[in-house]
Amino acid sequence: MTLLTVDNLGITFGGLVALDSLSFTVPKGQITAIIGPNGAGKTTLFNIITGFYQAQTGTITLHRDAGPLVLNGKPDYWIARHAGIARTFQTSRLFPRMTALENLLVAQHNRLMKASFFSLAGLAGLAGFKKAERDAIDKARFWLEQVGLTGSANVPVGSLAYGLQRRLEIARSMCADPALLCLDEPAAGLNPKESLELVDLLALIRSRFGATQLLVEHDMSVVMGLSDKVVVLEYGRKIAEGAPQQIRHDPAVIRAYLGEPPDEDIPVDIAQDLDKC
Amino acid sequence: MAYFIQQLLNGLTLGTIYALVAIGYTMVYGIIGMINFAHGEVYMIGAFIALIAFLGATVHFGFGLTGGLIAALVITALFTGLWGWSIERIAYRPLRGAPKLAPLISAIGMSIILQNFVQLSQGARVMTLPPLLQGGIEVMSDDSLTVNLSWLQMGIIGLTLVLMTGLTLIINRTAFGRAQRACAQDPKMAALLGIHVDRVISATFVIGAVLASVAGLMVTLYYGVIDFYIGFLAGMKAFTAAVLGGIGSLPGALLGGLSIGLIEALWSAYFSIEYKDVAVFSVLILVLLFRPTGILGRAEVEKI
Repeated sequence: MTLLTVDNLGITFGGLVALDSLSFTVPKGQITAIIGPNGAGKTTLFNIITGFYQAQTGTITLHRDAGPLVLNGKPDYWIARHAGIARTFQTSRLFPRMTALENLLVAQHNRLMKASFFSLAGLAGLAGFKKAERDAIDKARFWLEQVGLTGSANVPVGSLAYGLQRRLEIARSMCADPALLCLDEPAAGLNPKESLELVDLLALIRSRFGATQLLVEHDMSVVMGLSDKVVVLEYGRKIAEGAPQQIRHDPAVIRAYLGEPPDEDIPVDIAQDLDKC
Repeated sequence: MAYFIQQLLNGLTLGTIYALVAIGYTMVYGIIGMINFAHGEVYMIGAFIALIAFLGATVHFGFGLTGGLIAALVITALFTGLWGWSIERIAYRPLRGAPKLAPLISAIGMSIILQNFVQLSQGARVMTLPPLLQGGIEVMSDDSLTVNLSWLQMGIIGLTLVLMTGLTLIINRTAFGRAQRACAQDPKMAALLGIHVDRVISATFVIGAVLASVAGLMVTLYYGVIDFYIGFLAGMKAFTAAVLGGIGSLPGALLGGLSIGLIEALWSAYFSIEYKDVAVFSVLILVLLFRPTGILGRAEVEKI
């Protein structure tokens, strides 16, 4: 079952080709990792999927039970609301002056606005809204528990440790019941222990909640330990796609990461200079 | 002593009016980081709509005093809210991604357009409304003076407190309020959570305009004199109030408004009335020099 199809996607910035006829699929309920050297176009791809950039060529299609949904040309809030695509960033993008609980409630904004008749029913204290608000708080507390932050529900998130903020961001994304969760380097800046906890959390989200995840990550232990499928980019092109084991031994991937093996000997005079050093 | 108390009450009344206008400055600054210099004109338009609506309701449709006031309040809020929405839509939304100076200049242009529009359509002469609500209660008296708190002053202070409480509840307790705060802190992330940021910004302008229009209605009743130019000075003073309280902060707007009202009233009472505006704007300069974040404002922490 495919959830997302990226077909022939391309975008250039001035003369720079950031993505060049990129095609791949994201299987439903699995974790797909996008890897590649710096500048390969991974974050650009996320920016296009979430509606921040508009692609110049190609299409992105989300396959839902209700039928396919083309995401090109749609604004960011529309993609979040109607396609159910949630995203985290390389650094914490929580609302720093809100509590952890409020951050998770903001993610349920549209449902609450509808239930509260654009907040009017909420002000009047109508029963239907009270129930929706209670459900939203229950859901937020559930996810706080999942990421181990129950005790910090009413703490302004700006004062939480960085590792906890990253976990809270994932919880916030899950509060929106996303069809697709796009995680941009979730392990960046985490220590090895936090990194392991993150892998456990993402695996739990896959096994228990069946959420499809698209992961951009540099930490290979996270990528290899977690993903069902890996797509490798270099200079905006796809150079490999497949299971992690396959990718690990792919010559094109090794070349992209480690460079070409030297195909001519170093000239003698330079070699002598190097010896002297 | 009685003289002091009387000036205190007058200052508080004036201060709540400034506070209502200051909220519009502070909320708009909080969400898009611009000073809406056309906001004083929104207040002026509110005063004109209030006058027209009140006279229309009482003279033309034969409403009584209370009915006329309620009709004026509703109509003023409705139409001024629409003005606020349109101003944002026409003058600021097209400049959303532009450098910060562009919307600022657009705001000044909007302010000039609105002043001239009202001057041309309503005339340059001063409009007057005879005092409607006479009487009040005697607070205290000593041998020289009786301190009087008029019904109108009570109404102004009371209505302001109700509106302030309502706004605080909306911002802190409702889904819309959370979205509003989220957009103020990180609009791009708010959009990625499915919030229609432009709509929240529009709603913020409407709320600011409605509160300013209530202030306009109050001024029309309190002073009974309005003209097309009142928005400039009142707007600048409300802006001073917002900066004094800490721009971006709602309680700050109330605190700043009351402070400016008291400074103005007490300066007029004990020093020279000609220099009351000088006193108010000196406060603006002093705040900007010594505490640019205002009383309740937060210093922006640059993340490295």
